[in-house]
Amino acid sequence: MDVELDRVTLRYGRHTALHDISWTFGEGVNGLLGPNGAGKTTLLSLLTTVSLPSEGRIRLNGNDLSTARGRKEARKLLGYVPQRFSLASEMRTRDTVAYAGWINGLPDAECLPAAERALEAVSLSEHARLRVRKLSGGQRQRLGLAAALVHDPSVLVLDEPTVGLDPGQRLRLRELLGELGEQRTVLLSSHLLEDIAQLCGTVAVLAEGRLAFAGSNDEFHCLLEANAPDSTSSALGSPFERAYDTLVNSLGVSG
Amino acid sequence: MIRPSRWPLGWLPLLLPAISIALAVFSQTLETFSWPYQVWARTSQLFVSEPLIFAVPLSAAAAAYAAGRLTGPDRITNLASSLRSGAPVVIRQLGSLGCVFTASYVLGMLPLVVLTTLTAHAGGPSPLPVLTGLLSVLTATAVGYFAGVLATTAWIAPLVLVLGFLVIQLNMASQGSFREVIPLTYDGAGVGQVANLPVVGYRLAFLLLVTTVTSLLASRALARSRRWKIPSWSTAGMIVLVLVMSLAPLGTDPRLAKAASEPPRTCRTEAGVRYCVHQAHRPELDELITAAEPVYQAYGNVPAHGEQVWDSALLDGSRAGSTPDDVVSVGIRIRAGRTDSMRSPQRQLAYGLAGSTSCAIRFPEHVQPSMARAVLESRHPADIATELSYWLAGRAEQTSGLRPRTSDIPAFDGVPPQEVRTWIASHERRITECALDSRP
Repeated sequence: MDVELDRVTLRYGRHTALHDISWTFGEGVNGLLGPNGAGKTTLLSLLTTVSLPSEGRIRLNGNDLSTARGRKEARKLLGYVPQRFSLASEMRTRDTVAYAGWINGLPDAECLPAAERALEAVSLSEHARLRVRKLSGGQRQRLGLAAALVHDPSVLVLDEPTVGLDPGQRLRLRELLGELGEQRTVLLSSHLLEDIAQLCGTVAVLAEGRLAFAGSNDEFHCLLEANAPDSTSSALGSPFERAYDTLVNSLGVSG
Repeated sequence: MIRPSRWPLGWLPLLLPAISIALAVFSQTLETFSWPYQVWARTSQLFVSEPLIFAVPLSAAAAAYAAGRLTGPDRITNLASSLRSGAPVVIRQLGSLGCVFTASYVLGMLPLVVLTTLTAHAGGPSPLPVLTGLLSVLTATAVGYFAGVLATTAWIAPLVLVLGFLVIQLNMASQGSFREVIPLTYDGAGVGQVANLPVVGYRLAFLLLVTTVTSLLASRALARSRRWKIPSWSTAGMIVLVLVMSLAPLGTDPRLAKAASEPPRTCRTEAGVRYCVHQAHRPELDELITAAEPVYQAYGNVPAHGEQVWDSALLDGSRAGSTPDDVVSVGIRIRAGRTDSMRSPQRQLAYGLAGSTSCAIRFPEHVQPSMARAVLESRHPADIATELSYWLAGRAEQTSGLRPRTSDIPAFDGVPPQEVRTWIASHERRITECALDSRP
């Protein structure tokens, strides 16, 4: 399932939020990396059909998102977990996912079985009858993922899914995303280098609304090594993170 | 069990308001249950009367609560990127709320409807008031839902409850200025009347418009990631249309009801007087005759202007002069278990026989003095007629065994009844024409 961005530009009045972005990615986990404010969420709003680009085209499995028909077809293929989402605390876990199934296009009769499968996929089956208010932060994040997966989308878009999770929860979520990427196209947006470096086959780096890099994870590692500071640097963090900071700084953006 | 894909919030947010609406509506109809029989006009009219006082704010607030809980812009179950975001969500959620609340309104009214079916003597339900009542609940639900969508929080519900309560009673506070748009009024079609189609139709159209516009705007809002934005031309146009339709009738005073062209009647002649009541009031005919006879006895004969006594439901009260010259109009009230139920028809008949009806036409500007002494000392024909009507009513009530009222004027005090009757017989033409210039 290919997602293709072709010279995509987005303007809000005089402000250009995204500049001339071209990038194609397919099955597997794909990373969209960039510091806060780089335009990642804005780009995702275009990919998830919520906004339209000022210029350029986006195609999702050949469906042109600039047309109403193309957006409708694309929505059938899309699952999306936004950076910040809320849940109705009085609803049961299973009911939340079942309703998400309906709103994502499933017929009524299929919603509950699909919800049970989705909850199993994110290891929440045993909490299916619990009220959402009783779930932990990590469980809520997985519930969001189940809601995005319930209609078995071919393209899964995740915006900063690991934010707010403790290290153990983050590790489990990464494992899960790795499994999901084996069957579908996953786009993982994050400002955390660690998430992207460990999970993604291809990486795009966004800085100040421009695509600074797009390539394989190996190529991205090479780029980072080329930008690695000398070992006597006093900057904090792992050498990898310091290399990323240097890369971002070289693009003229403060991370 | 309800499918979570149909209604994910569980039973409580539906069931609790539904039960409250049904109970509130039922309690508002209870007073009528004591009547010996029901009348379709009254039962139909109740659909747009007191029961709405609680049904409208409750359904609006419950819908606002549900929308606030279900449709927050960051809800994972309500993302703008979902295939069914927008109109399908509104149709499903508002459809569920509207169906349940309208059904609970019907349920609250059902006992009275069944009782009316069993005990009413004529006619059937009037579709327009019934439809208006049901549409009012649906409109309130749609408006409340829209408020919840825009507010994105269930905390809006108490505010909607209070506002709904105030809005539905606007006609009470403004002497009916908003009767074309706010359904709750007390001047709808009674027995012998039919709904005035242009006015009631306008109201139905307005309610339908509000329901459509709020549903449409809620759909648009839910299809976006941001709830609030500068309105498009079409949105602004719809809002302006609602405002224009709600404000346009201000200053006009149209009637919601008009007299039926051929109301069904039941008549009987007793002692030279023809009595007619609307068929819906058929059981009142005997009581009307029983109440009227002592008034005629007091009067001494059957005058030309009182050869018929008609239920006012058979007359078009809105048109002056529409009552035949020989007819005295009496308003029928159905009240069970009242010992003084004859007092009202007797007083109305006395008023008619004393010529006060003619006086109201001949001297429309005349105001009856508020002090009893002033009435007794007045030489105005209308005041003398008033004194005569008090005397007739007093004599009739005495014959019927009713206690005199302390507020009554001591009419023709000290004059023997036979002398008054002789005076009546000799002044009959003056009584008929409201031209009395002397007392017995």
